[in-house]
Amino acid sequence: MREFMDYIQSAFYAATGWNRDNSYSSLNATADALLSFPTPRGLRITLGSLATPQFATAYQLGTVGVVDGSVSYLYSTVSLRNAVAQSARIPLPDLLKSYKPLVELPRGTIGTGDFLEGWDASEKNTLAYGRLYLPQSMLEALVVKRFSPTLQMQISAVSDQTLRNGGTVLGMVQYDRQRYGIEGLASSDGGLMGVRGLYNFGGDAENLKTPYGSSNDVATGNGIGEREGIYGRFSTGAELYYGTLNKSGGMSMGVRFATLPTYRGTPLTATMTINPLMGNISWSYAVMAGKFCSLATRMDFNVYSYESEWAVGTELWRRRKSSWAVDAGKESPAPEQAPPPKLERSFQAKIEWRLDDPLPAPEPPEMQSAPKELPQAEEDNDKYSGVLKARLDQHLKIGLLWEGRVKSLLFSLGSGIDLRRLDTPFRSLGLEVQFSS
Amino acid sequence: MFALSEESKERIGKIIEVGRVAMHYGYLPLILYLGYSRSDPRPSIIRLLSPLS
Repeated sequence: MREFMDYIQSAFYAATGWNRDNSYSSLNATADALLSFPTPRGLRITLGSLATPQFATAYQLGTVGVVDGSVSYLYSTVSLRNAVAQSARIPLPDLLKSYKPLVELPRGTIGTGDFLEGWDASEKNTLAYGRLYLPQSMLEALVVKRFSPTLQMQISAVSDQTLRNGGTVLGMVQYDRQRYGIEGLASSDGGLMGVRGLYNFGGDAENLKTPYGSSNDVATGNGIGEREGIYGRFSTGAELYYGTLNKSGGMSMGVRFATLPTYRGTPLTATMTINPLMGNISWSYAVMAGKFCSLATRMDFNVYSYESEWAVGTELWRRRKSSWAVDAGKESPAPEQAPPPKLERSFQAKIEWRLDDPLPAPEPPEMQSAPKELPQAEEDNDKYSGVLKARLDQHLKIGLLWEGRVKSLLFSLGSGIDLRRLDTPFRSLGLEVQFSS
Repeated sequence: MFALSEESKERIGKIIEVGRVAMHYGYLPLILYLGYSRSDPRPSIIRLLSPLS
């Protein structure tokens, strides 16, 4: 489950129109969420509140042997009025969803000048977030400052007496031109300097300069379905690091193909990342097999040591007041959608004494309904009541996570199971409860 | 690069340490103050601090 404050930070990025996903760091976001999700340990209770549209509070209390907690506050210059903060109404997919479908890049905003001219200097929004962990007295601070529609700066710091030099500071400058995004970062920890870049091509990245009104293919959603083959966007990127104090470096590069929401087939995301210095190659493949089921797999291979690893994972969504999704997904759309048009069509066909030639017609609306309905928070809110996530890796370690909502409480129940040690298979067990208002 | 004297290094180190301690204890109150003074309408302190109110 995403933490309340992380959710509020996403609301800030949404309110300021910043695409958080157009970064090399989120290239593997879908596979990581499906295959590397953390399972809770012990009991953790979070109370959060969006006290005013510009200020949020969260308190957390946990116990894993010892009792610890944290106090966090967030201030934003932009109003987060549109964010749903109440845990009774919060859209579950926003908080829990692992498979992240790509969002179409805004068209006609770069190059035409409208967006840049319309941008007001007063929109140089700022977010300040701080979290104090107790009893360790460790402070985590984040300041995000937006300078222009394409430029943003983030400074994050950790202050703790037990760390060397009392803590670290990380500064990051992000430049996002939709087709490409560049990040430069510097950290006081080892004098680390780094640069990350992501370049998009294919799919909607080819039509960035075309305003929506000039062609109606994507806007109406008609053209895409008639295209031959799969419709998606390629993204390729790399990152380079160098520690000026310890004189060591690191790098990786990667490529991703992901389908876009207007594609009517099965949404999929495939990535390949290479770490040439360590000789590691990683492939991942994730599909949204149905409205209520996503599957993912990952394979790692090291060309120096010939070691390999694999992992598989899935998430199953539970329908509200219904059985588990895999069964429901196959059966329930049929009684809801199919009977009325079928009845109408067959009646007309009888009258006109002809065969039902628009027979395949009901299928596209069903397929189309998945990407169209997903962004509608209210509908999703009604549609889902929880999710079960599971993963298995080659060491026969299983991670299980059940998340959902009971009344106005959000819960996350998880366990890590090691099948190789059957005498004590449960390696970890935890429950997280979150309430926000 | 110009070389710093030991005394200057010590002084800079002390300034950084004082700044760190000031940030450590002053950062959360600063956010609270900003949230209180710049929110419109201005909330009550209790509403600001307590998620249950």
